[in-house]
Amino acid sequence: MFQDMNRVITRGKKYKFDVNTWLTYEETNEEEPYCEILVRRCNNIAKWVDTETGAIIEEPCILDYTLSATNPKKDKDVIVSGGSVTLIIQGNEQTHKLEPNQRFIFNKKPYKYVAINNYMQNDYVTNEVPLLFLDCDLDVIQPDDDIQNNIANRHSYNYGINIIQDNTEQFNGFKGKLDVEVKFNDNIVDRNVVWESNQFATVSQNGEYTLIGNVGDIAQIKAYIEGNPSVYDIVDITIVNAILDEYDLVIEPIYTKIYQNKINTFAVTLYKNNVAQTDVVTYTTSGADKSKYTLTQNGNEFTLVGLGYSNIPLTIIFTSGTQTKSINIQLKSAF
Amino acid sequence: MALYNQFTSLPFIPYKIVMALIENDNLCKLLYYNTYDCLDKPNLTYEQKIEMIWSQNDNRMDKYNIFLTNTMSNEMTDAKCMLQCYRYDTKPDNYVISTLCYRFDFLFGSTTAMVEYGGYPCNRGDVFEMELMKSLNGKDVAGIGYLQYNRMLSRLCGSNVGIGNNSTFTGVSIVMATQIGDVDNGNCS
Repeated sequence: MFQDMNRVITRGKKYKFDVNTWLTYEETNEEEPYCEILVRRCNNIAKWVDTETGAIIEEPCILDYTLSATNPKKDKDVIVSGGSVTLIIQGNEQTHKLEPNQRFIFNKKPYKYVAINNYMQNDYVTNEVPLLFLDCDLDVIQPDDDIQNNIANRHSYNYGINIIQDNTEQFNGFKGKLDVEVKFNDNIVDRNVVWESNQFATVSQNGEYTLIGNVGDIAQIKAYIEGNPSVYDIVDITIVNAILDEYDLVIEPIYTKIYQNKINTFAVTLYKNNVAQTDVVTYTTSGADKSKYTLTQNGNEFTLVGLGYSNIPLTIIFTSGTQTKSINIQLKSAF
Repeated sequence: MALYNQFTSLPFIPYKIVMALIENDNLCKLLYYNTYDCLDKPNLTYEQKIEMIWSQNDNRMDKYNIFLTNTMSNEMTDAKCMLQCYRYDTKPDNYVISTLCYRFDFLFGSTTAMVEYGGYPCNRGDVFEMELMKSLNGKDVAGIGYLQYNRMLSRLCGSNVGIGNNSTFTGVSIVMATQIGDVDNGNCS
């Protein structure tokens, strides 16, 4: 009950008292001469993976008291547990994206969402649905479930981010550009990346940086996937008086596998003090039989075509001057 | 010493069947587009075809159209078309040769059951069965001889209509057969 009669209250609003979160289940102020709501304590936390970023989303929720339809499902060749529970959760930007067949794990028991009540709109103007009721059926544990942390299919969504350039040294005032690749389950993907730096550098949102510290300072530049700061990479640039020329052979992007009939293109570039050079790169191959792939070079752009499965990976060694770099690529079937 | 059938090429047959099927653009369009004019839509790219195939044990089976198993355990929320291709039956003819039957369950939405083919409205299942036969009847998918729609090879060969849930989904099921007799190491080449 609220002292202020004009307080805005809506179904689905969350309140926190001590360590517990309470979800507004019903507003009763229209029937009463005072401002009052009915709340239920959130008795669990629904966790799931944002498939676009790999971030773990957590939302306090209510699992209804009754576990229904608990008779084991006996049909033909295997018996599995039966059970159905109603999950009540706030309707917000994240939860409205949930789709049928999304799985949740509550106290090491997996459930799959099969039906939803998402039609109890708050009003006829915004059509907002602030409270969702999901019917969830008991499911079986899958190998990519994180049972300990109650996150379903967690290990199916592996994101990684890599700043292509290595740690290096440069002088104050140097301007450079860092490149980044984001991988999802070992495949290069396109995601928004956020760049940050410490006080010894400035960086723009496309990776262009300027060193502003003093000699001895270490500029740290960090890149992470937008929406998932836990997946990040950092490069250190030590600010020095004078620099020895540093060379690096950079392969971009780096593929670790290629499927049959797929074409992967990548560039191999010699960098001198983080500045791209035009030196020609040569290469040698070993490992997989030549009938399983084709590799062609146009300048420093390479095109690799997978022609079939090989149990021996393809090894390519790139050379430019005194710099060499090698990569191993698995040759896979079409799917 | 007598050589016995080792079935070494058995695991690779569904893969080779699917690779043969995706070469058929009309068949892929029947699977990908669930509209009446699906055959007039653009041909699928190679990537689009491969993305239809469920193969890496992705939990979200409902996002795919082609399965190398007989069970799709997620509920369907839209009237999409699906093909389940799997080994249905194995009968040993002798200790060297066995006859394998493969079943193709093609499921589609009840309200998307018609397509325009050759200017005429046709049942999607009928057009699919025709395209399947074009691609697979007489196709070498490993083993001995060819994949055949041939009752003399197996009495299980045939097709029947009416799979689905009698409500939102219907479909056609086709059984074809081939023989296998691997007395040395096989591979999927």
